[in-house]
This record gives sequence, C-alpha cells and structure tokens, in this order.
Amino acid sequence: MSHPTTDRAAPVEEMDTGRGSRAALAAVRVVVGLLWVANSGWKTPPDFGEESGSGLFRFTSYAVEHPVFPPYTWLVENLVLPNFTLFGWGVLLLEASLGAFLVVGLATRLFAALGIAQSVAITLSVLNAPNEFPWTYYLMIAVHVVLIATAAGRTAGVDGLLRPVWRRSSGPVARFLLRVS
Amino acid sequence: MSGVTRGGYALAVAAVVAVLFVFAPRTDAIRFVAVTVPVVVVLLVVAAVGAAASRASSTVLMAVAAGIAVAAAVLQQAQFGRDPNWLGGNGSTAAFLGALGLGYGALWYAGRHAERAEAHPR
Repeated sequence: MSHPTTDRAAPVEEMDTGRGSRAALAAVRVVVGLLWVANSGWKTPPDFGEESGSGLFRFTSYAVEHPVFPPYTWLVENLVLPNFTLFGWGVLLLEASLGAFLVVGLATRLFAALGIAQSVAITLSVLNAPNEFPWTYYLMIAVHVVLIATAAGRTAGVDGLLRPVWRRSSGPVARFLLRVS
Repeated sequence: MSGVTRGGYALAVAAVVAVLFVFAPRTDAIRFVAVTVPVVVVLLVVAAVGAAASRASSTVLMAVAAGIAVAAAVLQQAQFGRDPNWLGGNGSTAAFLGALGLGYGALWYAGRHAERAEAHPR
C-alpha cells in the first residue's frame, strides 16, 4: 500500500484572499485603469499630431523609423499611417474605454485582454526607439495578465456586483459578460 | 449597507477626489486627469446626485448620475482638440467621466434587479 502523501499529492497553499490582498488587487486594477485614462489625454484629435509630426503620429512612426518586427512595420507603413485620422480615433476610443472599464472593474477580463493587445502594439512601435525603457512595456503586459488571472473586477469592482445578476439571466449578453468578467 | 449603496458612495468619493486635480501642477507625472473649472462643476454635481442616490437607495437618481456623467464624457470626447471645448478637458477627462457614468449605470442596473427580485421573489 502506498503512502497517502506523495510529492504529487502534496497539498498546495491556496492564494491569499484576505482583505489586504483583495484591497491591493483592487488598487492595482484602478491604477492600471488610470494609466489608460491618463494616456487618453495626449492623443489629440482631429489629426493626432500628423501635421506637426508630434504626439501619437510621432510614436506610431517609430515602428517604421526604428523597426521591431518587420510585418508590424509593414502594417504601420502601408495601412496605419495612410489612414492616420481613423487610426487615431480608434486608439483614443480604445484607450479611453480601457481606462473607464478597468477603473470601475466592468468586463475586466475582456478589457485586460484588450489592454494586452494594445500594450503589444505599443511595444512593437516604440521598443527600439531612443530613450525607451523596454521593461515599461513588458510590465504593462504583465500587469494586465495579472488582472485576467485574478479576475480583478470581482474585488471591489462592478463585476463582483453584477455577476450574480448575470448568472440569473439566460440572455446571450449576460452569458458573455459572465465569461469575460 | 448594500453593495449598490457602497458603490454609489465610492464613486461619489472618487469624483470629489478627482476635483483635487484642478490644483495639481500641469505635469503628466501628477495630473492623471485633466480637470478644469467646468469639469469641477460636473464632478461635484455627479458626486452630489450619486451620494443622494446612495443615501435614498434610489435607482432613479443612480440613472440621473450616470446620465450626467455619460453626457459630459460624450461632449468632452466630441470637443477635445477642437474649438469650442466647453469643458476645457481632454481625452483623460472624457475617460474618467465615462468611468463614473459606467459605474453609476451598472449600479442602477444592479439596483433595479434587486428591486425586481424583492417584488417578485422566486
């Protein structure tokens, strides 16, 4: 007869879900939301810096001037820069939405995933640009992974309040929100 | 105190705290949200209506707070970088007001479902 406690069956410590940990997690989510809120402030329409070669246009152009990943450089050069106003509005609306949804913790996992996508796009634009600190962008990606892994909107967030409501509903929107919160 | 009431007070406090950004130096390191005098007025109105909604457990007032915040966010997003810019803010102002609107909208939705569940218990 084998011994009941083997290495494989060894108990694993649960994550700390105490009040302090939950408060810290909520604070991280709000701070990440504020990161996007603050960064919505300098993407200025209507031309987003295209005429003066500044702002969002300058940072997006880095993908061409200081390439990181050739297919992405091609995409920016041939698709993004020729349609820059449309792209600028897309970025502004996405980042403002990321800020708003992450600050209140609504559909947190969905918006954290979008935050990863946007962080990757930023990384591929500016990683090789002068005076950039690469770990800024790696940490941006990592912190969004944490928000997804911990379902951070359920702690002091709107997701925590609405999930029981969504669970009682059989509608497709409620089911979707239950999945992405 | 219910989660909806607590959430309503928390958002009101967040709106009042954001007012402090009007005094912050104009540097990105500190000024996360662009707050001007007209934005202060909007934030204080949203905070007052939101706090009153929480105190009275009123879903109608939650909806009013959400409506004011969302309307201001949409106005700010539409006028940012143009002339006139009535609120005088930028994209960060729109995003923050949008967060308040989303928050109060969600609380209205949760409160309405709680009222329905009380009126028609399964």
